[in-house]
Amino acid sequence: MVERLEGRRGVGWHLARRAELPSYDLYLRFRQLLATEHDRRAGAGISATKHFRDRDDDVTLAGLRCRRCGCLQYPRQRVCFRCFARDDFERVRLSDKIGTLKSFTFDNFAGSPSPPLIATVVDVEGARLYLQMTDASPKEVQLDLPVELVFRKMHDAGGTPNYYWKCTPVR
Amino acid sequence: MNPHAIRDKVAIVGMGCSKFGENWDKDPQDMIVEAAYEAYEDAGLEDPHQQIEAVFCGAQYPSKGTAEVADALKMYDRPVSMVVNYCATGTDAFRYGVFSVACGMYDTVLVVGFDKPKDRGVSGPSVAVTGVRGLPATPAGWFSHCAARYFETYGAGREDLARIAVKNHHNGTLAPKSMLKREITVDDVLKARIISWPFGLYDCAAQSDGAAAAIITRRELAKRFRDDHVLVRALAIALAPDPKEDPDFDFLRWKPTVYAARQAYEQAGIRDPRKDIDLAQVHDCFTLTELLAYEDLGFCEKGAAKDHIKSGTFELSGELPVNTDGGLKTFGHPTGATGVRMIYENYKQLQGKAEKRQVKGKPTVALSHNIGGAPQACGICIVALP
Repeated sequence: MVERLEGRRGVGWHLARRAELPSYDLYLRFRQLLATEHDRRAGAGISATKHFRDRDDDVTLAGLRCRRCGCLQYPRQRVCFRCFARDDFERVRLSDKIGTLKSFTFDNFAGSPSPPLIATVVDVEGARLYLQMTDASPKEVQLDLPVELVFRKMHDAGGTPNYYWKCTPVR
Repeated sequence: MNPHAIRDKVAIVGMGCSKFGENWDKDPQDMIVEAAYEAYEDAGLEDPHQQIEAVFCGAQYPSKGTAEVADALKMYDRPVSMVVNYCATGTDAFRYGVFSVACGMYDTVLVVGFDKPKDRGVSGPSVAVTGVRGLPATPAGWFSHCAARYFETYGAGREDLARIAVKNHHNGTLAPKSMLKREITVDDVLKARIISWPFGLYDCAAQSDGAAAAIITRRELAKRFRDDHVLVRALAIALAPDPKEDPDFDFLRWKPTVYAARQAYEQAGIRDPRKDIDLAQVHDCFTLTELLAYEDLGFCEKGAAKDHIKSGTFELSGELPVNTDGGLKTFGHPTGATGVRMIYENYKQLQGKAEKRQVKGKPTVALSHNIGGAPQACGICIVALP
């Protein structure tokens, strides 16, 4: 069944888009071998019930298209942003779509092993996603840049790895 | 909405404001007492424990809730309520107080806004991880998201933002209770280290500790307290979607301000804000927030803010002075107190008691504006001389 999967991104795909780390220091911080001011293992962790409840948002990156007005939105809503229809949506997977950058900032204050953290709002067919950008430098970032979505480990709060999506420039 | 339901029915007869800053040696009780007792004295209250019938308080980071204020002031055997609405908390607490007086239930009501963020030992909301997604929970990050699109669309840049910081730093040197008293230059702002692009250190207001208080009563009873009372003309609160989730967001304005301004101007009968308003306190948590507020409050056309910044419209000596006491930037920002502190500044200005920072030309109508959260919530208060 795995052999029949389309568009698989293997080791080759990832290696072709790698970013070279400029210092060993940075490598140690990413591997959490060097103590930093903002420990990504810190914090009580996210409740298991919330993890479970939010899996469609967080793991599948499922958007919802309102059947009444067609507005695609994320994360999960009960009431449509645009026409206020309640519970009248169809589920749309967003993770394999191309998005465009609507806004960005370079955040030196947010905890990150490699500041600045590039925070973006990505438009995916009208839905808006607030995502970190990865494998890119601030120099490449501009409005309306096409981006694709990648699934990454975000942090280890509470000693449990947490995964979510990030955007990265289409290459 | 009945736009005239509260219009000019409630009067402010006393106000107080603690020193704002890193008040390491003061706890919430100290600051609440400082602000409230200044307000009692200003109103000439002989026996506050007899006269105050209800208390409305606001704090975004309360440690104890309503008891914090009740215990500090020994306000028992009467209603004490707490209001929370991000940076609009103080204005919203004031709004509930005004409703309680306007409906005729209480004659004399105390409003107290306070916050003590510095005790947490960090210079802003915590950056600790709170969710799966690991996204920045930094207000500097959230409030910067309009910058790229706005700069590109209207040809504005960091220099326009810098002029706002310079203006507010200057005004803050004239306000005795402000946290920072330091002139800066445009060059200082542009050379400062970047917090979250395009905001450098001087584009960001620091959170601080502080409290502010107001005594309000029905207009008919105001002369018992003082002749130079100030009337509440309009109060508005509005929420809008999270700009980072809103499918209909253009990144050129903050919707909460646009919505709340519409409500407030309908209540106050204001058609030309730049002409009808004599001075304003506007939420400069970040320089861009103030710039967008000029436009979203209708002080100028969308995109024209940079021209007015250059020509000095909003300077202390300008046509519509904004942030006459230095704003959040230099006065400081205890989230729950800020809305009340803005009303305090407008109250003093309308009474002609703003000393070195007094706006010329005998102002009669003043506006205060707060926006907070993602940002999602805005509060606006308009006060006027009778």
